[in-house]
Amino acid sequence: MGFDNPGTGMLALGIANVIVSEGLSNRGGELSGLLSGYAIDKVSEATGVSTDTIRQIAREFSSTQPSLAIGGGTAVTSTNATETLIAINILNYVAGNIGETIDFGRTINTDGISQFSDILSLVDSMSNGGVDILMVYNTNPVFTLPKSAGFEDAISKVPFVVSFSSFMDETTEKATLIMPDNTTIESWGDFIPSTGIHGLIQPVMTPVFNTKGTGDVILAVTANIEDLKERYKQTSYYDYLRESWKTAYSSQAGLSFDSFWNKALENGGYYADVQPVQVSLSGGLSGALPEAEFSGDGDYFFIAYPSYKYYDGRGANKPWLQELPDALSTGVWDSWVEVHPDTASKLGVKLGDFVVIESPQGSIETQVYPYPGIRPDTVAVMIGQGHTSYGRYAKDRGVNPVGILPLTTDKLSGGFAWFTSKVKLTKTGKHAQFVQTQYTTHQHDRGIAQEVTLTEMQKGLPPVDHSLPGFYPEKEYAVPLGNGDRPQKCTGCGACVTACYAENNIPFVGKELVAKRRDMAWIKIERYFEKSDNKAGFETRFLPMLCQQCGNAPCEPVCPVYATYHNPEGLNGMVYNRCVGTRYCSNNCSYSVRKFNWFQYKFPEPLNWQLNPDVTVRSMGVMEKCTFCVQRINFAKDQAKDKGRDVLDGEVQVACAQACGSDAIVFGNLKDTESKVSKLSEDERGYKVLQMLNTQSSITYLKKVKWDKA
Amino acid sequence: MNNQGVLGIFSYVDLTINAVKKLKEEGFKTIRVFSPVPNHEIEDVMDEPESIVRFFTLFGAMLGASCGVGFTVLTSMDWPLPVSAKPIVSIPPFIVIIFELTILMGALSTLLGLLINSRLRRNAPVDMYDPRFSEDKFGVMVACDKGNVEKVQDILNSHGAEEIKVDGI
Amino acid sequence: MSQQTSLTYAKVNEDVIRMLDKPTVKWLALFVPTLGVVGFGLFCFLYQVYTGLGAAGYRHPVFWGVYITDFVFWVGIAHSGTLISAVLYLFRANFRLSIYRIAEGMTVFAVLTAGLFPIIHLGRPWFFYWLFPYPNQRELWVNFKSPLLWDVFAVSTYLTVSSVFFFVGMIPDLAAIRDRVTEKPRKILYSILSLGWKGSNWEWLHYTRAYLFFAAFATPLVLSVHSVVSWDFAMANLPGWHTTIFAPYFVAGAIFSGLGMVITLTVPIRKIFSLEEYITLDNYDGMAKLIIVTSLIVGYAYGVEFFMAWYSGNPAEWGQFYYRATGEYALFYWIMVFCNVLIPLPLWFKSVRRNIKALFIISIFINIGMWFERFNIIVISLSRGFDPASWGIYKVSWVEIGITLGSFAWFFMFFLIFIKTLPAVSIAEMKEILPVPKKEANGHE
Repeated sequence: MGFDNPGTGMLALGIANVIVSEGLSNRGGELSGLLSGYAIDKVSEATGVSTDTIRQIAREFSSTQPSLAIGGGTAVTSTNATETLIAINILNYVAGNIGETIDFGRTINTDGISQFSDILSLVDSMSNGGVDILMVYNTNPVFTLPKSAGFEDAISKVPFVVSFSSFMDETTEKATLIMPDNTTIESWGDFIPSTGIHGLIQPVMTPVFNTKGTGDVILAVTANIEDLKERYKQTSYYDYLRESWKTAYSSQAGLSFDSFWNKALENGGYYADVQPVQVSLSGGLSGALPEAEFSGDGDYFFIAYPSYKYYDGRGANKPWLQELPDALSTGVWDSWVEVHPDTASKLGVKLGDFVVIESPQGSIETQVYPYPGIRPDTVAVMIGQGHTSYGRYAKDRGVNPVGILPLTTDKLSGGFAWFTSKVKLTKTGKHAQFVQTQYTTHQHDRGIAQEVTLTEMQKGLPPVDHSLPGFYPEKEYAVPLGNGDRPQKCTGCGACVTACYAENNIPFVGKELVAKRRDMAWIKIERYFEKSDNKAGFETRFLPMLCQQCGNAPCEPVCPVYATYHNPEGLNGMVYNRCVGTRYCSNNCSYSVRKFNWFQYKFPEPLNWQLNPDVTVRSMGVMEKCTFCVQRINFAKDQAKDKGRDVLDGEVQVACAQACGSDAIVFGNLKDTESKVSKLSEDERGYKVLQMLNTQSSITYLKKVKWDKA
Repeated sequence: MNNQGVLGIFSYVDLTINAVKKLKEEGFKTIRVFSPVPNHEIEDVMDEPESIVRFFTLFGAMLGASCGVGFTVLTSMDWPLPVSAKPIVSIPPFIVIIFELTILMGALSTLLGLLINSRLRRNAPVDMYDPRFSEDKFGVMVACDKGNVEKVQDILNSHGAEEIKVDGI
Repeated sequence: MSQQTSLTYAKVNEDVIRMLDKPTVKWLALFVPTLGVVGFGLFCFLYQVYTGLGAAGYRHPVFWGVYITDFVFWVGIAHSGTLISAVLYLFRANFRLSIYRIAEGMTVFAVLTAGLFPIIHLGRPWFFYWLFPYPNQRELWVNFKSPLLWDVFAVSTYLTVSSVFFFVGMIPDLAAIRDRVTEKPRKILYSILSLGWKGSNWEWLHYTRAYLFFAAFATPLVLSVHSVVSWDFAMANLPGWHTTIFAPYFVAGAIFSGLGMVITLTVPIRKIFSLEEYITLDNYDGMAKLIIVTSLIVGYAYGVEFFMAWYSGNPAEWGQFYYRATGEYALFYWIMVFCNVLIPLPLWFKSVRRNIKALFIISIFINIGMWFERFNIIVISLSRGFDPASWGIYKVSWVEIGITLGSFAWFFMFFLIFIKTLPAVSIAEMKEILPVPKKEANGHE
């Protein structure tokens, strides 16, 4: 959230102005009329970004090719959102990125999507009694619309509401008829997220409960309606879906339909090439961008942002997501308001204190999380919590910031403008522990997440030596399996964490136990804030921390019953049924990655269905930890043995690496000098965490490269 | 045939010792002295051979050490489970176990030696005792044949015995 | 020891055996509530077994807490018993005589108490016997490289040897009781316990020799046991644990805390049973001097830990010690320093060393201070390991408090039974320091 202030568009134009006026690019001369209104001094004053910084960005942005300015996030959710995006693309134009890094071809698919104004007029007709039947499918407007939209009152005026939903949510609670839908993993379906991508959804399991897919319900109904009988001949939604793909795509692929269909199923859909869209700058751009409008008389701009875990709230009923620590605050199972530390001390509040956030549309009360990455005049609350329904895991947890937003739209597009509110913050005097999984943001000189500057990289790094003199003779077995982690690529999203929960039958424990640091995650994302050279700024480092499968593992020799030992492949084996629970191994683990079963954890129905049959469900009183998905390794070894060959590089994919969207985790055989992981582990940026302990960890981390060029 | 026991009870150590000295001079071999405390003077005058409990102690301690070595090494090799790149037979940690077993078995065999030597081996035909020996009286018991009973009684009497008991088989 | 005394052999018997008279109402008033607290501790333990170890206050990364603190505390208490009975025996320090039986009893009961905690703290206490090497159907032996296995051997050896030592030392006294009591059941009981002891020169010969060997074994044992206990920590690589000073530091601390407990226990017993002639001010003076010595060693260790942490230049090590003195647990740290280093300082004055009330108060502080020393070493070190992301604070739960109180009650329960059934002062050895009854007064000694 670098520039999530009202002046993002101004900043983009200010940078563009510098590029044009300093002649850093041969483009943009025709825009001088527009850009001259954005003199660097004026922009600096309005945005709080220093002139030096603006100038530096302008020079780097134009001289470093390819470059790209991306508009998105909270910066483009105000009343001038569209204009801001235009401003950002003007910057791209000036820097010569149009047609290079931007082609406008593959855009988000908006076909068949209603405008926000359509929703508002629907609410109007509902309130006026103009709607007899309302069918709600896969949406929860009572929760996701601002209270000021009046949907909740309007729905009560509709005589017959049908909800097709897998879960009892706020809207479904108000329905006259509930048709329990299959969940996504039990359903057939398709959708087009963006131009050229035709996604195909197939179920991975038969429905657990007595539910029926919405498509099947509709087909069953149409079969009894004379007019529609002929139009919908299929008896199941699957047949209907197949039929619809037949007419749409069979000719395009040049394959028989069956092979086309099977291929689409295998690939998760059909991906068409998309031609770039030629755009040109229309004339008549002059004058100034409109400024964002804010309502409310409070002191603080208020951002309600969609959470990457719950999105608009639909993720909140999944305990895996509730227990997944937020990337920056590491908070779980709750809401909080991000407040700049200076603002927090001005208000006299600290971490965990409750404040009331009040807008003209209402107020919410939540805990403070002082976060240096937010502007002192802005506060932010994540969307997704604050459900009054939606199951045992979502209900009565946190607050819903959407509730206190005014009903404002972006003038140009007509979309809902989220970022238009100014709020008051009032200290309540209440305090509670803010439940986090990491309580410090400093590395305390431990060198856990290391970095190297680009200048240092260019000068060349000293050769890496991972060996230290040892007390014991050279061991006769090796450390063949290893992981390479690339913190540079890690976004801190935690997909690896949840993937590990899923693969390894890790129980979620709930807020009360996370508060006691009894979460069971085998892999965690450590996040550290480092002071940046720029005195106001700071830099975030993420580091996935999991069992390092040390060669000289500190955990192994201290176990009195051999419950953890070194297996011939170099893994630290963990034999659950030998463990008596002395917990010495964990005390001696320098990386603190071992977890203990303090209780007999439950997987209440239907969560028992998530259990992986290849992995033991641990019982009370035993230690557990990451095993590099040993069940997958063994599976791959068995398969390779059947085929009479060695396991190939990349054949075993550990769950965390598989789930990582940015490919930050690589797993493979370190003894195979050709494997990807061996090569990565010899990278000049490679280092071992806490190398001075000589644990001979098999995970090599690559130092984050820091941009230090001016 | 030493089948008679004569027991003299004394209040004073010096008198007891004198009586013992006299009895030894008279050629009585089987003498036992009772006392509420161990006493060096009595020990000196009795002049018994050194206690053989020490051999029990030595043997026990050596057995304990060997058991310690054998146990740690053999069980480690029985199912070699490598831990932390340490050798399977790793002597430094085993020393602790060997040390403890040395002490344990040494102490237990000392106890055994004590029990065997002080109770199971007898050198007198009859067992005479007076409860006051555990309080403040000293006793001298002589095993002799019938003919010498009176002689012993005389010696004890003349050396200040306060009470004399005679017992036979 | 040259002291004016009115004691005679007969009076010693009378005074000591008088303590074993029928329990008084006062004794019962102590004993019954003690049993109650033991029961509560047992309830807490069963509750913990039923719900899981989560009932205790552990939180990641503090995986050892009050239970291991209690374990080390009680093992430490045990040590000065053996010190007084064995080490000072070898040094022929006579001030041990009147108190060594109580100290030895304390040793055995403290080890019995300490031995519970490694089991209580297990995640699966019902499998505690897996820590013992025995042939089993899993064909798995134990890991002798683990310091916990050393503990198993050290503590069980210590319990065995100290019990044997305790019992053997008591045999002549048990015979004295046997000879005095008249009721049939007691007579039978003490006859069995005294193994037919008669006090003959033959018995004394082997007995004194064996006793010397026991003392010779117990001395290195007592040093090894607390060294082994300290290695539970020193063998780990955790900052605050991984240090070579631990063995002598722990042994000195153990003796220090044990002497404190001996004073805490003997002062009331001396008063209640009027044993002023037995447990004299000279005895206390000797113990107080030992307390000063061990307090200085412990205080030195506290200082050296800080110095080495700073001198090593290791950020994790220095971070740990800086945190001890200034972090969330700083109060506990300074309680420890106050109780263990400052409180014993008045003992430099002879008048304090010979003032029973002052000694009693100081001894209570030492007990508290030494409990916190172990708590600090264990909990604070674990709270701040190498990886800052994992740091966390430990909070004690009611279950742990219940079990700790139960352990104190368990210890006192044995002690109360002990003073009513066994001779709390050594009858035979007390007589050794009394003038030998002689007709002619000019005999030596």
